[in-house]
Amino acid sequence: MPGDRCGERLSTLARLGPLESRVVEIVWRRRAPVSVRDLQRDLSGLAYTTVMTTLDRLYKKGLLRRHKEGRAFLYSTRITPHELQQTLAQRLAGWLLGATRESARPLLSGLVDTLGEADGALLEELERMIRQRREQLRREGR
Amino acid sequence: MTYLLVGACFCLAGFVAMDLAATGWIAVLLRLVGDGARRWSPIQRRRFFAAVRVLPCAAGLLFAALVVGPGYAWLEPRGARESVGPMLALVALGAIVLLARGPLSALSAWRATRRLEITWLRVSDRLEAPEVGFPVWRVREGSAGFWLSGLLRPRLIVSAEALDALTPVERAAAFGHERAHAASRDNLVRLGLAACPGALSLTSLGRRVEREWVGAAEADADRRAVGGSPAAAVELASALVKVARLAPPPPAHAVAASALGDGDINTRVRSLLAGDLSRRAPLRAQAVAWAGILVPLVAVAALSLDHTVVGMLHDLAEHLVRRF
Repeated sequence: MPGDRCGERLSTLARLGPLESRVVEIVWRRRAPVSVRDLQRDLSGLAYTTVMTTLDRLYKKGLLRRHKEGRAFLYSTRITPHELQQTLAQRLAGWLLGATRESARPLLSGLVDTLGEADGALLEELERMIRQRREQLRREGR
Repeated sequence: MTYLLVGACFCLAGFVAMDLAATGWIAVLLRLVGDGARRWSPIQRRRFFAAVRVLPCAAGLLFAALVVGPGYAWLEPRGARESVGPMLALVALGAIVLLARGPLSALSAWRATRRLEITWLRVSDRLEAPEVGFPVWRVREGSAGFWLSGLLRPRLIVSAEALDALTPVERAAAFGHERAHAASRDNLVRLGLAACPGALSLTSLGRRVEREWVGAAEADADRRAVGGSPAAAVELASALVKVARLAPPPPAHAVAASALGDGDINTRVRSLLAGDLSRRAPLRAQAVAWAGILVPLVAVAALSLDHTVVGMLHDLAEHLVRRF
């Protein structure tokens, strides 16, 4: 679903490092596809390869799209500031109104309701205790 | 119309104030009770934590309905030229969000359950298990585990993998556990607790209270399924470990639930093997805990009977509204 994809990108956006965030901001401000060279001018002091690697990382994270023009790639954002605002507002409303994934936990009573904490070593130890207890009950004739 | 609107905003603000105060009180109460609650019987714990979860919302609603509303109706002249200021409007809006959040979150939980159930039932066969007393479905594909669904009409959904892994006695013990959940209407209580409005659900304290309740409900279902029989306890413990081995890795959002106090498999299996599920809390500890639950409710009821205090509270509210 497009909304979900937007939400995923928003989560990625929230985890960006300072340089990545700056790059996304600049691409947004420009409102048109940018090349590595264009961006390097705005990020004075940074090496061409640093800017190129950062853009490539953002492309791989799904935040930027790119197309080739001549010999260079041109980058643009996959999520617009408007979409970002909309998704943030939706998330806030969802959180306020209890429509988060956490609150949508199914109403089910399970035999083992607490998955995750049971690692293999613990289960083996519990099985050993069960065997011992079984043996003890057998000896006691219960 | 403005008179009613201002009155409604006063009531909403009263709800928020008392809800927050009672939430703070719960933090103090749980600190007082401390880890002592872990030594109570499962049924004592499940009752206590359900009451704790409901308390702030109940106190808030009672305060609005018995103190703020009547105080406004008695003391505010009909022709008063009061208006809803920005602060009062903001607090009232916050109250509406808090009031709506609980029921809406319960609704999303119910819808999530329905979706999951439909997915499972599409690949299920009805299993003949008259000893269970309600329909049992065997899921052919996927890793459903062992789940009791349904709020009023229970149905058990079990993966073929889990059924095959259990011996007949272990299966009987596991069915007994689910029957106990059904008899206590745990899914309905779960829905009720999720639907409780108020600020508590937004806090880590609220999540802790819910986890403690889930843990106590599991332990209580274990206790009822075993019925004091050490042999049945061993079989149930064995079934728990086998089903845990089959369990899929938890979804990301369920990680918090894995740190459940007495609900974790380690504690449950050890309690079953030690046979200490029927211990009872000392009367004094119980009295302190329940007195702590009743204090805010009794305080609200007492306030509502004293017209002088109601008047003072109304004046205080008016003063605050004018000031902000």
